[in-house]
Amino acid sequence: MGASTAWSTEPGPPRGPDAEAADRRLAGLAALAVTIHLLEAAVPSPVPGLKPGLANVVTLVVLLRWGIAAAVWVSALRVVAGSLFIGSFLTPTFFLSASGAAASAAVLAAVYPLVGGRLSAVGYGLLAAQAHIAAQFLVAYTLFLPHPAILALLPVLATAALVTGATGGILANMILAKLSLSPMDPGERPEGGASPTSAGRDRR
Amino acid sequence: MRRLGLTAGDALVAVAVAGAVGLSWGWVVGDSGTARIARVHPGDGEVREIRLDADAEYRIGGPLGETRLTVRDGRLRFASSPCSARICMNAGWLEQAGAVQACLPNRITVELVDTDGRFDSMVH
Repeated sequence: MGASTAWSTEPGPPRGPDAEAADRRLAGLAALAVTIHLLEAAVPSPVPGLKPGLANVVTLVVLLRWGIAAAVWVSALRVVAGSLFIGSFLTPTFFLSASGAAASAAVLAAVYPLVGGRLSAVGYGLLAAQAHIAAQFLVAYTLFLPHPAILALLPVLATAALVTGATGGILANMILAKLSLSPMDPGERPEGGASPTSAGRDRR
Repeated sequence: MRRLGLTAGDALVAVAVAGAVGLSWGWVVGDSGTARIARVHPGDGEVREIRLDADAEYRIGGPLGETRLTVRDGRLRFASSPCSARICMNAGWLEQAGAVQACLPNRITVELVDTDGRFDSMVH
């Protein structure tokens, strides 16, 4: 009491096993996303910055199953840890990746509380993918390549985002359907927004 | 469709996003910046601007003699020039904004300009 330091050196109240399990689950999901991210980075792509975006499937599944906070955590951890593993931390690639992840997370955070279960992972995936490439394009154009020729890339990236957003969303829906058939593990909080598979969950 | 877990909202979002993507294609590809005027830089004279919407012939004097430029259907070409290599004449019709052609021996450069002003400069 009355400590002058801002940070307390006293151990806090014990966090229950539920919180620990939630942390472990987040870490595991983030590790999964990082692994997918690394595998994708190893595959060359015809257009710079164009990727299947399969790691985003993890983000969408986490969003619709465990809520927006968990999804943002997984997304942020994936970008930072992934770039550390690849060796691109704080390089232009990292800033492009981070801006894309931040923009898609922001769009999800804005839309999810308003819309909830009226959109499945496909709808969220489409929106997040467009936000992702829009932010990346803006950063690339403003910071790295302010050349009019780069404008020609925008429709190509947008079309790719349309495709990857939809397929990622479909994959996420399929995964969510499978997940809803398994019992909730401890520390899992039923998220407020309904998911399209909530009917499956009640079937348990 | 139901097996994939799609909702009506998804269809709405898909249509809206596809529409926006289509618009982006139209915006970038459609108006490819056809030039409205051409800027002629004679070696030592002042810069002239030629409108490309009116068919006409222009004569520009240079050290070697007279270069003739023809404007037709919004395009421009070097009709004749006193140079020996005739590179300028072989270049054919110019119509894209940013296109540049020169008759170096006669010191004449022609540059097609995008008057929409979408781009401040083009770097080749």
